[in-house]
Amino acid sequence: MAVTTDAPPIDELLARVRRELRLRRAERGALRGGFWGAVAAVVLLAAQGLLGGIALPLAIGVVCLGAAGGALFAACRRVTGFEAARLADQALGLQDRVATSLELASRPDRGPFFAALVADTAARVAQIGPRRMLARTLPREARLLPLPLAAAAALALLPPVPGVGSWLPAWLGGGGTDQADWRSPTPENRVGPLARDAPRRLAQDPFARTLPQKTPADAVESAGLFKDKALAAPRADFASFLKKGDDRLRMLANTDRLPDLRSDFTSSKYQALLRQARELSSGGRRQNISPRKLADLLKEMERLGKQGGNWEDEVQRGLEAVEDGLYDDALDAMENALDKLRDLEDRQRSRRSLQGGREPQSGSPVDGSFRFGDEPGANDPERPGATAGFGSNPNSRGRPTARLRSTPYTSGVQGVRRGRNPGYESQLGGNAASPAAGRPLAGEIGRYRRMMEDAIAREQVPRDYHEQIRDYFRSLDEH
Amino acid sequence: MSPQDQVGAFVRAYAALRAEIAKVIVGHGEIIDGVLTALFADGHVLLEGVPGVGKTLLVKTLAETLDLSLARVQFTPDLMPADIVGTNLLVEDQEGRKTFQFQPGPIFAHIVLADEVNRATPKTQSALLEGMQEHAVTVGGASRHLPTPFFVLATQNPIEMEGTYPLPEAQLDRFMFKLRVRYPAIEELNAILDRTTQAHAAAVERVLDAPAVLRFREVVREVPIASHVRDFATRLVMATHPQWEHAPAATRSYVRYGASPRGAQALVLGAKVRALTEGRYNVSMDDIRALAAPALRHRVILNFAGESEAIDPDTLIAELVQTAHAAAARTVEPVLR
Repeated sequence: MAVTTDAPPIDELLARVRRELRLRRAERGALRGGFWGAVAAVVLLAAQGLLGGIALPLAIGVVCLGAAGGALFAACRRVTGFEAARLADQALGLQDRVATSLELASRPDRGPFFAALVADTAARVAQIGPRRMLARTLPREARLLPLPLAAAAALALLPPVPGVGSWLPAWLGGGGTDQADWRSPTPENRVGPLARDAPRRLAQDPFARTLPQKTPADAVESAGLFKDKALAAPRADFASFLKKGDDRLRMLANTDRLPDLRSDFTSSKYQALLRQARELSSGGRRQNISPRKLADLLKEMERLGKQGGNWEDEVQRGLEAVEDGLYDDALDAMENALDKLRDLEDRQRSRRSLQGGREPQSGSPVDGSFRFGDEPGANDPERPGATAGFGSNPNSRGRPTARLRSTPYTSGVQGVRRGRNPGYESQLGGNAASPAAGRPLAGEIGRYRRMMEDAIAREQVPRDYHEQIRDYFRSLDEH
Repeated sequence: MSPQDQVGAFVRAYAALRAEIAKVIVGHGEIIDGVLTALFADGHVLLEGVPGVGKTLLVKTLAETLDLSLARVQFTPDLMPADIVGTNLLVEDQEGRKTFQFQPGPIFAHIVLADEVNRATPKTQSALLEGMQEHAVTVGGASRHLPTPFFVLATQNPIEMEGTYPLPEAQLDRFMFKLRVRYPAIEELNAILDRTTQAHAAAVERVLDAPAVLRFREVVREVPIASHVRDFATRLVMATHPQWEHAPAATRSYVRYGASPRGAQALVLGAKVRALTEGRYNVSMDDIRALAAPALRHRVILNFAGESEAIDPDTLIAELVQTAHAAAARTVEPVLR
């Protein structure tokens, strides 16, 4: 139920404000609705090639419908009495009299001033008389309205836009494909290029070969289910990414095991053998190969194979073929032997990369296999050059020093915190790190211990410190 | 007596008071309105101005137009609280018995003029605290009521900082308005010379007595205020608080502490008096806007940035009023959409 002040001038004023407000809202709503209707009309007129003669009346209808709908919707919105009262106060300069009167009228305790306020307000409203209270304001859409209207008029007067169906939505006859294809819907036309290519790729797919064979027609029918692996993006494997990161961090933590980048793997005998084999077969014509070079190469491979390789059988076959004049067979045997050589070289290189370029100087190789580049007896720790700085072996770097093995966490004092007071908590009791430099002074410790006992007895050392000092000397004894 | 009669009587009395004061005081219309508004709103006024602009004369003239007692206290550094509130003296009666007798201080008057209030120490300034808020003072464990109406008018000099003690925030907050007495314009200065250098001084008549003032104070409190006007006052006071979530940027940048609820009370009560002086039966947003500066300027405590950049509280409050008014207008604008 609407609140009234029972003062006819005020109630009439409020009713007038409501009417005027609805009118203004309807005007604004009509302009807004007209704008959006005009936008829709532009789309319709752009598609008049598809819609034909109905496009123009449809566009006009949409504009009119938008304006009428907007006006109706805006006019039907509710206007409360307080909104009207505040608008009236603002518009007529009534110093909030109308709003206060209306609010007091809605209260159960209106106060002694209510009647006087209403009478005063009614008298002032009566003096003002009817006049326009709400200024006409245009919405933003009203300023933009000429644009779609002009565009709609231009589209209505000009010939239809060619090819507009390609960017229209599907329900308006568009869809982004050639119109002729849609009007002659053969199976070949209906499928895309990927699906058309499906039978060929199906035949090439090694996995598809194991499946029950389908006819090309079946493949075309199942084109919708076909997955084009060439276009599929590889899925991110986050676990392997993390694992790679962990591996790299682990390598960085072991600095003395990082790959030795100064090593020249290309200068090994194995690489020289490969180069010679490549040069020998680079001519491309087998009848031009020198039998003598081929035999030398095979003999060299035989010599290396005896030192740990597994290609002796192939080399033997090759040598026999050379003796028999079957050079093609000899070359095939050499190729097989070279494949095994390459495999061994790859294993060696990958192992060096992972385990670091600094190879252990003592003990047996990791897998017990022969490594190229090692001299006979290279594993002997007593041989010349086994120790860094001695001998003539440039590949030997000797034993890693203790400095490289140690980390900041292995030096210092290991133990537990002792003491009650905060000052003691920073003290650690326990074993000191192995100080090699301190051993020559071990004989002096007894003298210093006696001095310590004298000092504890003579000086005013706090009692809490006595045991701590003695603990320190005890820890020196343990080393 | 009908509300129309009450309001009519108030308007007439106010106009008469103003006219009588104007016989002596030249110009300063805003200051006179502010003082009278605080008088009828049961508040106190801090007058700030350079020496010689008529602050003390204004208070004395006001006391003459009202049939009220006036006590003037010249605040000095050696003034003690007992000099203001009074003390118990050992007196001997006719029979020779010695008893303590309370000797009331100058605070026991209707109108107390605390002249140059910032020259006394904060301890002495604080002697006014209880009286201004509770209208009573406690001496020797006994609470004694002050006469009603009780109206404190304090003056201070803004330019003389040597040997002064700035009023503490608690003391400042008890003043309803802080009015800045500006230097007179050239026409006003001529009029002052004409009036004060003649042989005969202007005579001032008494217009109101204490009961009339108290009756008008009751009428003031009957003036209704609409909720949106009250919300405007509340938003304005809250806008002085940097901690408020909707505080303007200026407040966040330059204000350390905002106005207290007493500031909002001062705004609304002052607005009610202003509405009555215009013969209105309701408070409008214009009333709140007009009284924002005198009611809030001494309640807004600037921070270091505000002090260092010499931000004027009046400028800040004007910006806050504008912001709050725009926010209030925004509540009506959507109606048109």
